[in-house]
Amino acid sequence: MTATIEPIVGRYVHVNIMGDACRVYFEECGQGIPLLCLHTAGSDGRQFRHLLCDEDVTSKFRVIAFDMPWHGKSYPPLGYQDKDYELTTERYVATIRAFAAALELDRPVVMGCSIGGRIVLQLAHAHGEEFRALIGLEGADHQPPWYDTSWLNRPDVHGGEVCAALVSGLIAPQSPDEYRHETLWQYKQSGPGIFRGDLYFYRVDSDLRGKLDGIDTRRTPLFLLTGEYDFSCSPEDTLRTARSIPGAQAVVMKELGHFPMSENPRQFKKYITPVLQAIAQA
Amino acid sequence: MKESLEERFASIEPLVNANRRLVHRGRYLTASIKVCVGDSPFMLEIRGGEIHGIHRQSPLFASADLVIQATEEAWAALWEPCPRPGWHDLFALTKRGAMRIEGNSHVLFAHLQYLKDVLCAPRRRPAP
Repeated sequence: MTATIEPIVGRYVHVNIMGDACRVYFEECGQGIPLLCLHTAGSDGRQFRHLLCDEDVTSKFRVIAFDMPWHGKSYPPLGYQDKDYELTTERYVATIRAFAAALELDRPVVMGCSIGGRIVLQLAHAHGEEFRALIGLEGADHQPPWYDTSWLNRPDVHGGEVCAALVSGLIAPQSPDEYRHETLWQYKQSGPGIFRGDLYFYRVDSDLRGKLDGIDTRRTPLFLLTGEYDFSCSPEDTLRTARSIPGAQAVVMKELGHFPMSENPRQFKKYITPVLQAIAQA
Repeated sequence: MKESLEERFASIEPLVNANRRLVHRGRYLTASIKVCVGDSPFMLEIRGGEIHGIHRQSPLFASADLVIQATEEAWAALWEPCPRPGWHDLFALTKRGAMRIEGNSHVLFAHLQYLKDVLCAPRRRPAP
């Protein structure tokens, strides 16, 4: 019997982010246009494992997914134990730019989901020239807060269980059980308070309504794709955002929720393929 | 004859108790949960993850750990075999204003997936 070994390669890179020395884990596969993938709040780069193994993609793109500091196999920086983790817009942008610079990526495409879908809007606004194209999955300029996030990190409620249970409703009912539970497992494994800390960026520090002027989608195409079952970043949120950015292209994805790449990779492929083809042919 | 919403709600008791894995996951929960299906109130008694009765009649001012109210439309939509977007989860319904969850939020969040699975149990039972 021959074991199946996936073509993904994982490594660590040491990156300085806002004065913090960070040991960042990343996985990559493929050659060609760099495609940098950003995971959702409280999860890690494993969400992109299917894309990393898709030869239709990796034959044209160098797909790279990194675990943000505090996530997955990337440790928090020194002294993390002395303060609560709170992701800010400034730190998020600095993290992405520092990682891209460390790997010497030449005008990468950035594809982010959820908080990653939000931050690509800020990248388009403030640093668009650095990127070949930007893809926001489940992204919008703002979503109204709809629950008390303090329940995500307190000693009398199991953090992993509650984070997974909370996001379980954001997965489309059509998504295969195998991938539904794999997606939830990542939430169960997240560090204490990290999902909540990411949501600080989402809820408190990144209301981008009215702040996205100057985005040049002719230079840096912007694609926004949102699953119809996502009630956190709803299709209406995404479509409203797209209408405010001349040239932004928005698609509502059928039978998908908040985690398209990990909850149902086959269904997601139907939607991401034409986007990646357009980028490759530009 | 098509099952009424009340009958579908009542089916939670045998469906949950027959699901040993679900009962096991709820083993640390003992609670009284008032559930309103439209205008019809029920008291759902949970003991160690098992459903120990769904009572149609309960005394006035009976205490409940949680009160979950939703329109008939919301319950019917939630229990469709493949529910529509925005009608497929307790929090989706809450966010759209079709459901209200009040009471001791600790009970809800400490046992969130168990309670979601209990209240969605009729989804797995095909309507006759």
